[in-house]
Amino acid sequence: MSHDLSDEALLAACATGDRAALGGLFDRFSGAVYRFLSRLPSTDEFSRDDIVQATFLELPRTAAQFQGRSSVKTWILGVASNAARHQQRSEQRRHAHHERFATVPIASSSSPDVEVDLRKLLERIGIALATLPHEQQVAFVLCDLEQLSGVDVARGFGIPEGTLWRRLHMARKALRAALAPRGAP
Amino acid sequence: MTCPTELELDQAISTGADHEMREHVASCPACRAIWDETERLIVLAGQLQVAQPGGAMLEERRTAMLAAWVPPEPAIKVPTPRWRIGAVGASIAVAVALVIVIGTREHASPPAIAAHPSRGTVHPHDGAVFRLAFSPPDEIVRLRDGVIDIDVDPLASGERFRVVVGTDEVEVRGTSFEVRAHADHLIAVHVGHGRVEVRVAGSPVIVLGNGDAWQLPVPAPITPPANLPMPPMPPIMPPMPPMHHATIARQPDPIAPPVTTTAQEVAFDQGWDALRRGDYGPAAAAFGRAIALAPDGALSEDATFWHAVSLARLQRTTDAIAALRAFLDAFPTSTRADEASAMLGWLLVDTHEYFEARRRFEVAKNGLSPAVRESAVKGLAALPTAR
Repeated sequence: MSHDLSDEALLAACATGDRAALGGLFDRFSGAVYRFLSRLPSTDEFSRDDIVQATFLELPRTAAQFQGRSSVKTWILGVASNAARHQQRSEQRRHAHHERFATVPIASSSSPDVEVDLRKLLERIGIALATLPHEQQVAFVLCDLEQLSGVDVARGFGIPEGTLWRRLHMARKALRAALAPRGAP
Repeated sequence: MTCPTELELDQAISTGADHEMREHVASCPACRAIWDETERLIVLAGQLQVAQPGGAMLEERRTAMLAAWVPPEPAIKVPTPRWRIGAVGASIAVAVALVIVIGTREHASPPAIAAHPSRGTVHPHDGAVFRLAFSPPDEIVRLRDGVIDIDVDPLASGERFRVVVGTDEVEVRGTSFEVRAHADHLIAVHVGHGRVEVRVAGSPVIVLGNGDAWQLPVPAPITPPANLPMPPMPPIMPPMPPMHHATIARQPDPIAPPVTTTAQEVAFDQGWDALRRGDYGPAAAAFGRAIALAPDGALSEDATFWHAVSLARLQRTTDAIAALRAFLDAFPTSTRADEASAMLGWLLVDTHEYFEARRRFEVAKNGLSPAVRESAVKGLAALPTAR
């Protein structure tokens, strides 16, 4: 970031209680946090706003813990992940997630059959993703959907790289199984 | 090569496979199937619904988030005996009463709003319309209408706390004083103790000491335009950061003149609003207007700074460099000078003007703000080593 204070500098200012810096971090990363959370089945549209707010409100308190080992963005996504994990969910919400994936909009396809197949596949992926442990969901979303580097994610979340790869592997394995035709091993 | 484990395959999919792995996957149906299935999975999962928040919604959440933020409490102060206050010069309570006649009546006061982590706490009276425009170290409370009382803690070196009314401003210098304003104009200032700088547009700075008073020499005769109704009171706004409106709707007062807003203030507000929305082009244009409308106005320093920031965010690097140089030339003692120096340093790195970049970073490196100092140190580290 060369045209303003760096992300790291903003975070450091935020740690000192600078409200403007907190606003600046929100401006830079709230979109990424929203997108990340919306990919996590453990959050829904009802809780997402609260988690985004909780994430940024947490930054002034935790910013001092940032050690520069990952990008600020990844680190903030880690805070968001923790906030999401701690979000209390009701059983109704859990059901709502599953229902949500039943109505996932999909890209137009040339044939109704293909469209139905694709919709079913997405349903299965969505449900399988929702049943994964939170840490595996996060690993899959950040590494495969947000295309963040595994090394950066591991550092941002303060976990060994091997742990991150294992979580990602477990997630993919479960999701690959969801892709397999019904009845297939 | 023997088949890698699924874990190794998964890692290779993310980090990239080496030559040997690629050859193996190409020739091994089992590994190839896992590889292809994973890539398919990633493509498909990418089609799952993703919420895209709109700009307006984000702005709303931003406002709510900042309003909800309870800054960390300062260290608890042990009550100091009164006899010690004078000795240490601590614990200054500054009461600022800015009075603009708007026909207010006796009403319960809205809750105090802390301009935090500011040194000041604003206590708005009913009908007060104000905004906590900038946070420390250069705090500005911009008041348009009504009465506000402000308590200000002692300011540290490099910190400022100003109250801006129209093109006039009163700056706290560790003292206790009272300010009266009328229709966006300063009317009188009385200093209890300490020192105050009074800056009235078009006049030299007046410094008032203990017991001094300043009064507008000739009250400006302002006549309300005939048959011009007062605008309706806007709805209550969130506490931060938009302009505050106290809760009591006001009625047109036949005595009070209409409250005016200076053209510079209007342009500045437009620039700030555009900047917050991320519309950097309109922001730069509006701040430019604010500067042109009143080059010596109370908001010129801030407008010049934010004009440069807007240009930088537009990636108009050459213009931004020129604007930042102009800012630093015009306001070398500004509390934003260090930040501007750091920003200018980074822009100069982009244009490969390393000599000046180093000079700017060296200045910023000694700035008051830890964030600026950190940025400057990183900037210095980013410079190519001398040949």
